[in-house]
Amino acid sequence: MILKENNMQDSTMLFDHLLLDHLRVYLSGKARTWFQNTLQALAQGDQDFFTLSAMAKRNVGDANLPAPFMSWSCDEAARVLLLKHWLQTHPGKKREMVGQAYRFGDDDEKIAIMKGLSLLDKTGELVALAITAGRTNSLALFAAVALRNAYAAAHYDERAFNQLVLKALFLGLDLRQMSGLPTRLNATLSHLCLDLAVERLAAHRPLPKSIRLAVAFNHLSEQQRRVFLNNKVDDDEIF
Amino acid sequence: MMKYFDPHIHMVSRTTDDYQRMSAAGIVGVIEPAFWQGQPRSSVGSFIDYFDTIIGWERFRASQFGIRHYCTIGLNPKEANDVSLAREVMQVLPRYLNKDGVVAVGEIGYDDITPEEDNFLTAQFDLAKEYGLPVLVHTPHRDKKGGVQRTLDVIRDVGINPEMVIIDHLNEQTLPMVKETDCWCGHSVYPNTKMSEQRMVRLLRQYGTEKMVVNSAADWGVSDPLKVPKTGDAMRAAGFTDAQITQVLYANPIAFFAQSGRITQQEVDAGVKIDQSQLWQENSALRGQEPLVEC
Repeated sequence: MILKENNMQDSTMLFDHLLLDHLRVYLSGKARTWFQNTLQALAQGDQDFFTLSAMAKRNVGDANLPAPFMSWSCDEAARVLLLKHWLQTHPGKKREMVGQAYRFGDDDEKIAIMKGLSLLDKTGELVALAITAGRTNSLALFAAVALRNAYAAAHYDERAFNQLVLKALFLGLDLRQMSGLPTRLNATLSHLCLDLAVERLAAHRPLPKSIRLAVAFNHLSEQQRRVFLNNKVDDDEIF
Repeated sequence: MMKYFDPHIHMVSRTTDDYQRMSAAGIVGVIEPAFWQGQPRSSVGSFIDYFDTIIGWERFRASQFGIRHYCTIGLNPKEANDVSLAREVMQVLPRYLNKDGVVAVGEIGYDDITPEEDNFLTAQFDLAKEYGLPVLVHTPHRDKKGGVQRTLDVIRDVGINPEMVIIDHLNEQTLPMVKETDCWCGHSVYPNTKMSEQRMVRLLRQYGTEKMVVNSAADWGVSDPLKVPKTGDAMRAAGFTDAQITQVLYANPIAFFAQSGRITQQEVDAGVKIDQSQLWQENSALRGQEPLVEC
């Protein structure tokens, strides 16, 4: 048990260091200098986090990082790493500080924070903030919470996770990009998807793409399974 | 198709029908100035939420129609008269002036031309200097000449670079006053009031195209978010070349606000890419592939 926890902690710490190293290596010239200087200034309490975060994109640009971080852009990585450094100056106030960073952030800053949740929080204390963020109608911000993000699958309770999946389906997003979905399948979700499928069929609309990925067929009767297997999904078959 | 840019339009009060028509008419970028909401705000929270809207939700809404959305942030002249509230707003302005996509302090200026309006106008010119941002100035509906003259006096007294200031809603009487300075000249083409396409064409003939900017100032009232392309049509009919039309209705507004360092013609030319690969990808490779571009 203890060994398992240590491995988890090690691998996420490794992720943190890797992201930082990748950003440092990828940035060059003035961008790299700016980033190095601001990390130091933050640690010494010399500079205001909110100002630095607001200015980050203009200083480091928004190019994508290379593999394995190609779903991160430089400004997103910089903003999350700045936030992490700022948190370290005031231990024990994480929820308050991340909440404030989120509240004062523009959409891109909010997106960076959502993407970085697993970096910022290992225990799930920021779940309420993530759920609040997920209420957005802004597609990019919602996608930052729901897609390519291990946080929800790791920390949401079943009800919240099911709602996230349903909203992703409503917004036409690709559940293949929903991290950890196979580990969180459950009977309630399978039936919610069934209801959604029946609703779409009644409206003579095709099923949402990738809906089958949210269904555990062993939870359904033969007749219920046929709803998914016999009807068209939006566009071509994906598998 | 010719590209247009509308540097003064209150999209928060316009519908998606407008966005669709604007996109179809060739408008690829807009600037939404912070202003009042039609009735006085009662707390700084309303300002904060409004500022958040014009840097956030409205920017997203515009992007869905392929339109790049920028904004200006400031305390408008009307609400400068509620002094205690105005002081609270001044406290939160710096947080917003730092943000990406905020291309100027504005819309500031005079409404009734009161001493309170004077104070907050001066304070915001000072903020603009501090943040290196250009300024969008609204001229009043009543006593336009007095308002413009007072504005020019404040610009001189504060010592802000006039090239960093655009004075908007100009007409035949007030334009010559601004033309004597290095300030930029904004004109709002409105149905029935302010300025028409034909009057605008006459002004362009008389004064040339340098530092001349045209906008629709479309808002919650009877106004037309297509006035910029319609002015383009009127210019063409009057014999202006495509290059001149693009100069006035695209390059000029972008060049003025580009002094902020927060907008470039290059990025407006590139347009909004709704990056499909982020949301729904048909292949297993992540970024680095050509994203599906909408609009």
